[in-house]
Amino acid sequence: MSNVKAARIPKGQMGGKSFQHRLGRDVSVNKYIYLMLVPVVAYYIIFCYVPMYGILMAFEDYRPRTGIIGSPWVGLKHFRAFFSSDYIGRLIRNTLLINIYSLLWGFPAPIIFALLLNELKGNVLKRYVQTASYLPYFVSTVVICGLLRSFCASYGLFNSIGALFGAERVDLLSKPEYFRTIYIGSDIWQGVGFSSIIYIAALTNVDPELYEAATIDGAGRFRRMLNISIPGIMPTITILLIMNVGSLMSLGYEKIILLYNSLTYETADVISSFVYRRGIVSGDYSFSTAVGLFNTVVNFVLILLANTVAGKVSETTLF
Amino acid sequence: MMNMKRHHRILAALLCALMVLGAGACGKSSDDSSSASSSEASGTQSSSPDSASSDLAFPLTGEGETLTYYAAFGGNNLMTGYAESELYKELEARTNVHIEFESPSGDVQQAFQLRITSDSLPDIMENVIGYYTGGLQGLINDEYAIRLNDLVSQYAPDYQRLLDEHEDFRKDATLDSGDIGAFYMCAYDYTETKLEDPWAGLKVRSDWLTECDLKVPTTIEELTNVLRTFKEKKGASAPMSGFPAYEQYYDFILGAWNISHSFFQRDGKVDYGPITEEFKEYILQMKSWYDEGLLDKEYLTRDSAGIDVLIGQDQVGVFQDTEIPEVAEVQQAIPFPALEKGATRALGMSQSAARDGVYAAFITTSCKNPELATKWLNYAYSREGALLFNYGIEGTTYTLDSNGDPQYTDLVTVEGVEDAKWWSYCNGYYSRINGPMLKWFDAIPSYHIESNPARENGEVWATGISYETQLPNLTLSMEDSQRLSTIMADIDTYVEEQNHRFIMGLNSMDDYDAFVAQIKSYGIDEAIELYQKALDAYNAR
Repeated sequence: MSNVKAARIPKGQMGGKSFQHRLGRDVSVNKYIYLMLVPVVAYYIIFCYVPMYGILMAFEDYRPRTGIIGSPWVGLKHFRAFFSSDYIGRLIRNTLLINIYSLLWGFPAPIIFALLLNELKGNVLKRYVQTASYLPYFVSTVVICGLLRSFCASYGLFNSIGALFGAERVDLLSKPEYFRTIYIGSDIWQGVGFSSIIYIAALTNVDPELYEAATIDGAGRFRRMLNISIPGIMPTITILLIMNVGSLMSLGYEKIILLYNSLTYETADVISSFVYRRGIVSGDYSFSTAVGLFNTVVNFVLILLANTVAGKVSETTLF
Repeated sequence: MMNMKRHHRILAALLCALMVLGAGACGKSSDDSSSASSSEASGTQSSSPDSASSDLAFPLTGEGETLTYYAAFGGNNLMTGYAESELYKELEARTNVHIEFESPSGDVQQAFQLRITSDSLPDIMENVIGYYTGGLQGLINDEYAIRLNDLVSQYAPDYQRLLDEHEDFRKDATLDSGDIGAFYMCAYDYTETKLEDPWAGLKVRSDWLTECDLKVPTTIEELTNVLRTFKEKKGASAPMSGFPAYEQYYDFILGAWNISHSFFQRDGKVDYGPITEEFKEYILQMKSWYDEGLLDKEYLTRDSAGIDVLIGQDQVGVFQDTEIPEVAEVQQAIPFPALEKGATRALGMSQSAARDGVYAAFITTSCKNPELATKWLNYAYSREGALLFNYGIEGTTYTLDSNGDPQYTDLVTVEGVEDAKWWSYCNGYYSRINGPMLKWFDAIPSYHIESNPARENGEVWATGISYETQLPNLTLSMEDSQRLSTIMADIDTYVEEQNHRFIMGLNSMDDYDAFVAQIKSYGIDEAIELYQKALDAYNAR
């Protein structure tokens, strides 16, 4: 600990010295801190920066034998092949819509859940609810989708409940208009408990004295939630929101292909499932790199936008 | 106190260093293990390479040599890998060649694509050609696989004999360039050409047939009648269900029109099913079944569990398969319906594994002793080798009768029935179901087990089937296959989406011509041309 404190060198002492000099001094004082940083930096260099030159594959007809240097350069051929599809508009729209609706409904859910849980007094009950809410998260997607298929069938749970109220039995998974609801609803059910952990953790950091003071001032539970709890976790919310916006173009194909069928392509077919059906994608390194690069670039732009907006609206930004 | 702190620091530093090293080491894959073993004694070939006309001398090598062999292991409750296989132990005893297996875990396709990028490959790789863009020709051109023509003619007399004797096999196993690049599974028998029967098909509730006094349907018309009767007399709400999910791969119904859901050939000309006139007739037929309530209204989304529920509730009369005990006893295979009595019809299921080009093994450029690898692979195509690969070990799984024909022992046909142990036996433990070998389809143990309906069913489903519309194992250049997948990505999506909409009445049949026109506008003609070019090259092999 003593080393960390020593790092706070008064400003005046550093004035005029070159950056290298200051850095050298800082390193020598905090050498163990820097040493601990090394694995993290190494991780990013080895696994994130070094592989980046692989992006070049998107512009080549990559063959493993000739490698990235030796493979023929084909420019935008793979991007053209991807964008020439008649379905490209629908694919991008579906990918974005599923993600945006997920964000709209799925993002507040764990926050509300965490806030409600925070208000629970009984510790046993609180723990029980919390644990029970995590459980679905650890069930495999395949199993979840198997359950959903059964529940959504015309003889299934949802229809049986509907039938009690006189609704007609319909095969829910064959209706394009229900697909997003089923997809996002099940996502929320599966993830709400697990995603709420971070907010619950943030809530424990809120100073209890604030609550006590507010109670004395006559604030009710709702007031306290509104004026203490939510501002207390606002930085966490902002950061997570920015990060979520940064993945609006990414959507895995696993759950999609387990739930969709050709009748629901209209709303269910997304970029990744289309590429998956294209079949050779995993053998065609270049094509999949091109699609991946496109998604990454869009995501990158989105995250920059979100960050700027967040900086304008509130103080918290990601970078 | 001071001392302890010091220790902590050293420990922390060590841990950090370890993590960095560990992370760095992960970057390189550790594939080197396979390369060392094969190389040792390459120069000391003992057999006589020049006089290759006769059979090979056994054992294949004087001193124990090792080959590395890349083969996905699908799991078998008798062993944890091929290294424990009795089959390969026996093979080693006979050939004196030790095989070191390398089996990818997880996603085989992905594993192969990573494996191929490393410098040193195993000597032999099995069942992976389809995962490489550009296929076998690509593997040869990119110097992963070696050209085998000379090696086969010199060191693989049995494989060569099969190529010479069976024109169809030679075509399937040779590339357009004339290269022989791999040892394909050969499904052509020495004596008679017994090919594999269909392994799936339609079944009917035989008790319902009897109760309604109906005969086994053989045509579309008779099938319609049977379904209608089931609906009226047995109150079946979904008289036909279960298989339409596979229809687009196997053409259970569409085959009656002798076309397929995808590309097929007719008189040497390639065509694409959905743009033909016949396909419209098929859609109309399916639609009329659907409208009349003879086809399950939810055929597209019902999963196997849902189908079983329906079958168990006596709502289904014609289906693909079921495990529901009461119904399983009364299910009976029926021939695929034809348009007219006795007419032949196509089927989408592949007829011989050679045509798929899946079960093939190639020798890699890393192999230090390709002669030995060739000889070793050849063994599975000799009579002794085929006996071993198909029937297992003499005295244990089979005995030779007075005619010299192999007969399974009770171990397989009687004790093997329990928990379907025969499947574990023949799926790599004593013998193999598929692989680079001379395959005798007669040898599948289930055919020899009393009261096993598999063989009977297969024969019923095989009636009137013609495989002539199927495209053989074509070679497409990398350029062409990329172009093809770009074109077909849109067309496949469009056809899948629309054809069910027509059947279910979500699209009006008036729009059918627009449907065909749309497929054409996506460039189907170019795709047909690409296939035609490849088919012509195949026919010229």
